[in-house]
Amino acid sequence: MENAMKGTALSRRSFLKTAGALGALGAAGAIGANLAAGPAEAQSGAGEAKGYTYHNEHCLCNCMLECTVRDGRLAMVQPRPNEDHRFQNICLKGISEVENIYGEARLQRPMKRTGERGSGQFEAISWDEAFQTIAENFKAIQDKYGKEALWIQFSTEASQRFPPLLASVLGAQAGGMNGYDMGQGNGQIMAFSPWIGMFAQNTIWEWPEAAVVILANTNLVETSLTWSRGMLDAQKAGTKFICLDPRFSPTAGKADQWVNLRAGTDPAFFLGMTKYILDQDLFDREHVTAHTSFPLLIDSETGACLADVTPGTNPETGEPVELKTFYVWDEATGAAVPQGTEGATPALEGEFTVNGKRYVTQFTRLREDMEPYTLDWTAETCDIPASLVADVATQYAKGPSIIDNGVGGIDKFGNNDVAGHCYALIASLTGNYGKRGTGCGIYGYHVTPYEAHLGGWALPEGMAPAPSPQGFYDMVKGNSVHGAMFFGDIPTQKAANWNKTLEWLDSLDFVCLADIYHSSVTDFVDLVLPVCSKFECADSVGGIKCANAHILANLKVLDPLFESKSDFYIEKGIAEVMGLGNLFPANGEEYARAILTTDDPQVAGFTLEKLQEAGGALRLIGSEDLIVPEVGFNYATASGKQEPYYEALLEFGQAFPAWESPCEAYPENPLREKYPLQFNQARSRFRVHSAYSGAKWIQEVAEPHIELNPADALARGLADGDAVEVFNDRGSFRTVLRLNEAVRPESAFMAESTYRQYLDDTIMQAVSNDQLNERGYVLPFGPMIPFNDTLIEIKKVGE
Amino acid sequence: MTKLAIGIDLHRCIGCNTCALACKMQNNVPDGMLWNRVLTENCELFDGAEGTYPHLTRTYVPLACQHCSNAACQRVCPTGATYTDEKGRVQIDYQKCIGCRMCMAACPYNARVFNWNDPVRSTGANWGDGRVPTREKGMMEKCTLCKERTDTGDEPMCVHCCPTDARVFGDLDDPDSEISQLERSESAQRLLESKGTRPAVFYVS
Repeated sequence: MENAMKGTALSRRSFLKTAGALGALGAAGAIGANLAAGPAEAQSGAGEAKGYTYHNEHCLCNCMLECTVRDGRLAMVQPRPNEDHRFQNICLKGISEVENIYGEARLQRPMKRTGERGSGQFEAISWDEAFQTIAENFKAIQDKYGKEALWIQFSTEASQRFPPLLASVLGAQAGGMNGYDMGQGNGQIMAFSPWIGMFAQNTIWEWPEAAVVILANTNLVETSLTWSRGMLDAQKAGTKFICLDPRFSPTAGKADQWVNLRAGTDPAFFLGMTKYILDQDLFDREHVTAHTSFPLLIDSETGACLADVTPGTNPETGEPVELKTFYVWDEATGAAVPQGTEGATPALEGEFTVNGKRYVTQFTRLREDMEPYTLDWTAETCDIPASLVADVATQYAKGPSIIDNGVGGIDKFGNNDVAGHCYALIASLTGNYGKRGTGCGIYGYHVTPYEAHLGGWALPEGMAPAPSPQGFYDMVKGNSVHGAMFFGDIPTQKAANWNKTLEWLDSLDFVCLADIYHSSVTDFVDLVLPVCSKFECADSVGGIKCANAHILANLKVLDPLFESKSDFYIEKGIAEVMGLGNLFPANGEEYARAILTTDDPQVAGFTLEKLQEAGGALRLIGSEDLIVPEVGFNYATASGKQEPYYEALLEFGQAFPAWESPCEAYPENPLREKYPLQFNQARSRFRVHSAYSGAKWIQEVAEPHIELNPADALARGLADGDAVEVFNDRGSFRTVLRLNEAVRPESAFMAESTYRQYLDDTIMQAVSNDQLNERGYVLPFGPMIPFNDTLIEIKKVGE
Repeated sequence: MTKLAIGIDLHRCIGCNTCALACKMQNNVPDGMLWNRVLTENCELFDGAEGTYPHLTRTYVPLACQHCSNAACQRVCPTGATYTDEKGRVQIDYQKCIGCRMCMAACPYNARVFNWNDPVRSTGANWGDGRVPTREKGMMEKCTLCKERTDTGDEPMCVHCCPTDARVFGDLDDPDSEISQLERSESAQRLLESKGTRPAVFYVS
């Protein structure tokens, strides 16, 4: 592996503060010519056409794009004009597709593996042979082990825009719990039911109404790139942004205040803030009394709520449910009375005797539970000044304040749900939920409250995927699945500890991959199929979707490149060989029309033809106002109030959030002697997970590397640009080292995931932690993979 | 008179490099070359930081031709290939360029790139705006302020694509233009003012 870094090296220059040294120019000259350039003169207008699609949906920006095609080739990609400037967007990733879809990483034809797994030895085969091989293997697996032994999974990146049908038609498994992105959601969902627990109930456009936005491990300016405008505009309007991140991330650099806490200690920071807010009487007493469950009585020993339970029926599902009547202590009468009793004056704090048993209010329990989390404890745990905790707590409590969480950072630690629970707790305590300018959840991609109900393709009654009781994280540890088909690189993206995943792949009777690019898993499967990029369709339309308060159409920009097919035609091709092709739409137009068949008034009169006339996007009717009505104070929780006290988690000691260390990357872990560095992988602006890894234009501005603080590098005798091996007991990978003061000492940072051909044929998930928190299995979204709860060491390659 | 320019709000610049690639696309800039780059002030590494952890700052600086009123590149050009056009833009007449690279050495902003070899486009075809002339081995090239677009009333592609509205294009000779108002900001500054090049491009923070 070469030590030298390639691409557009930029010399050290200072332009703003000093005159800067001249000479030592860093601009890139032309690189060696080894590919024939097209000699054709560019000619204005000759053979030019416009095409419209949207891209990228994987980063959830869903940019609407106007594409210029010249002589049958993609020549330019620009933002599609939009009356609402907020939705006239593009970023470097969309632009890079002008090269990327023709790039060296593109899979061009069906192939079957001829060498050992990982050898990269393949031979080209025809589509007919590919479909035949897949159909035979699918049938053999389902005949031998049952229909559910086949698993067909789609990633956002490698699937086109029509909902998949093949798993339904075959009765195969298609789903499973995520195992990522929903850890904080697990912790916050229960407090504000019927909230979905992830995306906030209001939108990013409400931020100017907040005094403070806490960006909790949200690297917004990279991961929600085109929505950065929402942050910058709010900042201009006076909203203060406080960024929590161990690394001086690009977002931390744009924030008004940076909290550089130790990785994995976000819950400790919020627990410390909560204790400080209680001690300093900064909570919103009126809100807490009126709109939260804090006054409710709980058994002082067991923590169980004092409640009358009666059988009832869920009005929506008709299923039997328990209806609870909770009790408060009425200060006026000195007795426990049902919550909501007219004329009662509920006590917020105190210990009371009811029918001979001791009860306390939830609020009193909160004070007790928060006792350990002093400013000094918090400062030590998070490795930040105590004054910083107090300062942020004071600002947040004053409000109106918002907590915007991302899905990296703490979400990839074993204690992620505790963090989410903390957000719900502190928001309830300070009145920062329900009214204007307040809230919590994911805002980064949450730019519209509107979602249209679209139609779909009708399959025969009962035709559906088999239930998927396990997440991929468990599937790789078991033997319930014997055959798999992936649309996109699921195995290296949705599971940690690559060597375990590889063992599982080895155990399968058959595994095939459909992908646009030669992603990391390609060399490890039995059969590879080339998928169209988002710019290519065999039909005039490749998909219909609701996003950004629009109906978006993936219209044809180009014919399928090389020998690629869209996932729709791949599914259909396999189904046809299996005698099931007649269950599929005849083509994209038929599928698109089925999706547009709906009685939702927001899309009344929307047709494929109108979408084509409008350049691939129509604004939902009545969706002008992107700021939702105030969330308010009526909830579908058992008490009808904001409920940060989770009775269901009493057995885990997490009724109120309680500090729990990360499962591996905690300071006292003896493993630190061997592996002293916490490994932080996160999304950057340069890729969406592994997508765009092969984009040459992006490689010209950013290449894969791992970053260390210079002090840590010095201690290891490592220098900027060294080829290094990153390792622990689970495995290792190789990359280039760069030094960056922005990285917290005792940690390492790497933009997540690139194809293995850019990491010296290694895979970065070789080191990541796959140890699940058992508590996750009782939480709504299941356990989460603690990718970042990982300890590593770094050395020079070959040492 | 007309003096076209770009003003860049450094606080709104998030270092995304969209401007760099928008320029590359529009102007058919070959593999390995960029007319417009984004630097991290005082750092070797993109996304680096100044200071010592945790006392850090970071400023992204998008950098392309500054379209100087007293352009060093123009003064040293022996053939008159580099010239200032009627809209105040510094341009290169490719037919007159002899590839001596005097301009490249003279430019204090390192804004020019040279075709050391036959230009390579890995896709095997030209991309970008079909009106943009192609360049050959031995020719110098750089930002033209998207001449082909701005001549017909469009803003430069970097401005058009900037996701955060950090870039403002307009006529500095029009006192009422948005860019002139931005130029009057207290924080407005030109790069390397001591060089006396009098750039049209300016930055606010």
